[in-house]
Amino acid sequence: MHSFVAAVLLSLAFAPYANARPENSPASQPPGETIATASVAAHFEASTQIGGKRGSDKTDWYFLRQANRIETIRPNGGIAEIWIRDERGDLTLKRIFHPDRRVVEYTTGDLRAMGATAPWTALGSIIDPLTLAQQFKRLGTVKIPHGIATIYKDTRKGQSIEIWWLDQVALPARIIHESDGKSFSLTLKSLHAAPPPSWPFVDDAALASYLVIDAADLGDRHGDPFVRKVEQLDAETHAFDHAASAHSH
Amino acid sequence: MKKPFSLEMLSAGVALALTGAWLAAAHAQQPVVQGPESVDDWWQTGQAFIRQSEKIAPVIRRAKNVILFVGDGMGISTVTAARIFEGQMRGKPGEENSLFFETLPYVALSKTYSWDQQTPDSAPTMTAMVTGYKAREGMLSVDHTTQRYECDSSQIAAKALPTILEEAAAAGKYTGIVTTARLTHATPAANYAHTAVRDWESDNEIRNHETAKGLAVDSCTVKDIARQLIELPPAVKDSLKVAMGGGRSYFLPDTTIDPEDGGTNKGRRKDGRDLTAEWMTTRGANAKFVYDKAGFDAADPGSTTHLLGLFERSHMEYEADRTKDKGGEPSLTEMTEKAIELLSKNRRGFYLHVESGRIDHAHHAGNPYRALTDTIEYANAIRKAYEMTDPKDTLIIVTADHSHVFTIAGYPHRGNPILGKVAEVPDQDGDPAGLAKDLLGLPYTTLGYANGPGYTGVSYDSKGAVLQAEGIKKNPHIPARYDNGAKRPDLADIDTTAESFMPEATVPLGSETHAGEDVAIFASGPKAYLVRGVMEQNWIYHVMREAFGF
Ligand SMILES: [Zn+2]
Repeated sequence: MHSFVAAVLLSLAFAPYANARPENSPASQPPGETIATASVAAHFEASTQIGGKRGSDKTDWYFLRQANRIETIRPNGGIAEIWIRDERGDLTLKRIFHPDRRVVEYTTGDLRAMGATAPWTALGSIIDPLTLAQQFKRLGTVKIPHGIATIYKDTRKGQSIEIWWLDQVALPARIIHESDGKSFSLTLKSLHAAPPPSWPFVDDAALASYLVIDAADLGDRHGDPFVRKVEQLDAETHAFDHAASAHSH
Repeated sequence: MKKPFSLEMLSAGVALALTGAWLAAAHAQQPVVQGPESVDDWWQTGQAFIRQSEKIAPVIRRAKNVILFVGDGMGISTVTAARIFEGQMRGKPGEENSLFFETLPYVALSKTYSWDQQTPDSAPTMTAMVTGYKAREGMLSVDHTTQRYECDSSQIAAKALPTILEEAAAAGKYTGIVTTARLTHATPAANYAHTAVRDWESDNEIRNHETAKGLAVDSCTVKDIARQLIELPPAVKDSLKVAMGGGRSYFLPDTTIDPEDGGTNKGRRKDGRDLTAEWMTTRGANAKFVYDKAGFDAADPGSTTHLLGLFERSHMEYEADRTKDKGGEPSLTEMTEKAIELLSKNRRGFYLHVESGRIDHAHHAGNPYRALTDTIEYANAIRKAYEMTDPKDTLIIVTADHSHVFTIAGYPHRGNPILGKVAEVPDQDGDPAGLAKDLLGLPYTTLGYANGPGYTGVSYDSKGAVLQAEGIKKNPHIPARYDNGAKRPDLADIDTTAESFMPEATVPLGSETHAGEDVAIFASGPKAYLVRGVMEQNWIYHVMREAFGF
């Protein structure tokens, strides 16, 4: 019995890849790079349902993509995450905790040590398009307000993931993950080339007054109440686990 | 008759055994797993040890130089695993290998508890080593009567404990600090800074403390650690000829764009001061500040009087990743070499502290590969220092500040890959070494952690969605919570030797923790014979002081 992480990701593409992927490098982009790095601002609704109760927990989730910066914002939790790619293709991640006025920074080295070498296109598409193509079954297409979406599905080990994929913006319009009587869904509510002014955003000037903690230092700050709290807050990461697949043998 | 060990032979033996035809006559077979030694070798090496030991003459004269090496978080299990890993990287079984510092003549155990901690952090432990006094959690070179979060500079001055670096400076010696962590991080900082809070590395952290505690702005008069490095008392300022490590952002104002990383990466100081520039202006015309490998290489130890190297905004890279760094970085060995070249210019001698600062971080992250590769580089730096100095006049002490909950488990056979799964010596000679199985019938790794992020229960995000299923957790992994049911994973198809592999942990914690057992002290040179038995950690200072004759 062997399981692997299917790498269906919300925002961070923060799961490892069963299949080897090239290091991030602006010089050698895979196909789809142009679309997956085009500026886009997407408003999603994330919903968790337990035991068939519908809409028990709905939260807003904002996703802002630019060529070298990807932001996800969860206004309810006062949390935001920013990925930056530099000219070498090196990544850094800042996790921002507004109520605490703190930032946890994952340097390139920290991410490398964690094996976080997700390609930029996967970060920018929420789901790695390659994973989608290789591991999911294509069921057909559906017309939705944002365009024509291709429906992909994967079911294993009592879990299922359905993804409505918008090729033209390289983003999912809908993700439904069901496991153990729990259903998690992410639904695209609106799509823009740039974020409307009414949206929450990360104010870089305000951010300058926040205290930055290096992720490598979390282990030595066990007495810091903020660190204890942060360890109870996941990164916006959803890596749905599946039973044996082609990658397990 | 024993034959020399070789990996090819081992795999050939496995192949032969697998043919099955050989099994019937297994009792007549050579063991598939065997060491390289002949029977006589065991005796000869034992005798050689005695002859060598008999020749060791204690160096009773004073030391001209003292070098204190600290491997942050380098517990004894880390030393053992790194020794095996280094040997295996050289194509040997590994267990018989010795890291360089293990060959030093004197060894003792160090009791690492602090005044208020059974299992300590790096602040009181380094305070103990450089001041001679055990101290409080999180505090640097102030005595244990200091109040938590004390930020009144006069109080800190009253509680300050003189450090061996300061005393060496007062005696006219040159001094230096080299680390792969931030220069302002607890271990290196205890040499030169006095503060109640190790995290007050720049003024930003102190201003933040004032805000959090409702104190008036600028009411805390204690200086941040980076500023303490620049504004040292005159004798120490002149004596500190070299300080190299990471932590550049703590020295630069929040308006200055970082010279290496650029982009939106700026300094973190709120007071507008560029302490790297102040290093130059306050240390004479031949002072130098460097931030990348090219600058490091160009810094001539002959003509440079005061060298400040800050090679990362925060900690330097792990040795395993160093070559991938943007601006390039010197290795710990290269920094140690340059520091000794610079400090050796003083005929009155020097005190140098060298820290391998990231063994600790790799363990906290549940990453044995990087902890071990950093330990091996630490050993290389110590070899370089030993080669560059004379054991008749230079006391070298090699130790750790504390341990980690890192274990070497099971009954792996000789030469079993240290990062691999346990395969035992087979019951019948000629049989292959098969993977050992637990009571669930599953294989397990040799290396593991008693706690940390490698807990194998199902992990969830804060909304209750599954992050990673039960089993081995793959980095990156930042869950909100776990289920209390750590099912053992099947590692059969998992490459546990991968650089980012995270072994299983028994207790789920966001970060793996330090451990409370003793660490080792290795020593050579003048007064090194005083390193003996089971010592209190603060006695290390007393040995160095005795060696210097202060
Ligand atoms: Zn630590």
